[in-house]
Amino acid sequence: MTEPVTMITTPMELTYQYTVGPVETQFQRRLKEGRIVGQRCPVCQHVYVPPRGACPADGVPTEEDVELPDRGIVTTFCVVNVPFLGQKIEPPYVAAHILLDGADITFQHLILGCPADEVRMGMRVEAVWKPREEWTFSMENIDHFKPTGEPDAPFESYRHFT
Amino acid sequence: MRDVAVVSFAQWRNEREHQGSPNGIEMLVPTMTEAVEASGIPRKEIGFWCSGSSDYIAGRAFSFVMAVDAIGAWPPINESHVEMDAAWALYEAWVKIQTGEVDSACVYGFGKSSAGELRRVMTLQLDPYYVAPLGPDSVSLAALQARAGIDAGKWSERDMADVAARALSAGAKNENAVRRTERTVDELLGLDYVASPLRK
Repeated sequence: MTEPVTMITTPMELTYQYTVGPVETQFQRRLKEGRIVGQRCPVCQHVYVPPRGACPADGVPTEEDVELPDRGIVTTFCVVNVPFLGQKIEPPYVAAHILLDGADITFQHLILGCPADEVRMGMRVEAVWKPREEWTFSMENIDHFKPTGEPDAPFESYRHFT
Repeated sequence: MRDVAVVSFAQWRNEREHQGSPNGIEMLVPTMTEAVEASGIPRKEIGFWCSGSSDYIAGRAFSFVMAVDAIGAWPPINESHVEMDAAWALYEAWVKIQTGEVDSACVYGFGKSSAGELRRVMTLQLDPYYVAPLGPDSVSLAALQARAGIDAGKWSERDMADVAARALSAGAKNENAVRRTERTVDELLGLDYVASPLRK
């Protein structure tokens, strides 16, 4: 009797050319200049970074640019202990959600410059940029964030991001 | 059955390919605003939002989630997505209205097929079980379907050319269309086959 077929493997591959839209283009051009520029919603006044051109809460275009500093706080984080294919940094290291001062949304980045077990919620951090000649149109211009040594932000100030 | 009418409509321009073209959200924000404002229904009072798009066209999983940014989803809205196009989304919205659960809906479809090779991308959608290409691509499959209709005496190549000529003539009047050249039925019937009986 023939064995029943219970599974098939069908490898496939598609090629895509991702085109960056106007809003992302502007954000990335400014990253190349070492600037982080978000956008403010005209209705709820929230500042989004990276900007996507619209406020997800109100569904209206965000047109006002807001220059943001390259420092803020860790709202939440994860210590990466597991090695995986393509890993660029030796574990343990910390991936964190960072809330820039003046922004109303977090983004993920790397925390270095202190032992992984010292990273904590509310910790003040600042960007460590790569050398200027390596800057490109990417968030990777920021190599990582490191602790500033300032006092931690009180939990209430970022509670809604947790 | 409840009567359902389309009360407003908006369309982003269709483009063959364009460097620097907008992403899904950038296309949807002005388009949706135009359609919603023309309907006269306040945005927050729209009963149901339903989108149609394809993750294969976008080239990433759950790509449609980003599109919700263009709606304004707070306070929470009644929203759904179908993995196809706006026509399929329209059907879901129509059903929703028939159930009496909602009285209005905003339906939208979006995608940017120029990021990939459309014929290869579409082929992946043919089999929902194995999620693998079955062989023919979308154009060949449409040709098989057209051939079956001709063989069954349902229509002729000339009937098909009639439809194409009408569509091209509508496209010529629509500034958002990609194909804007009018052709007569006889001109169309003189063109080369792409996949018989479909012509270029």
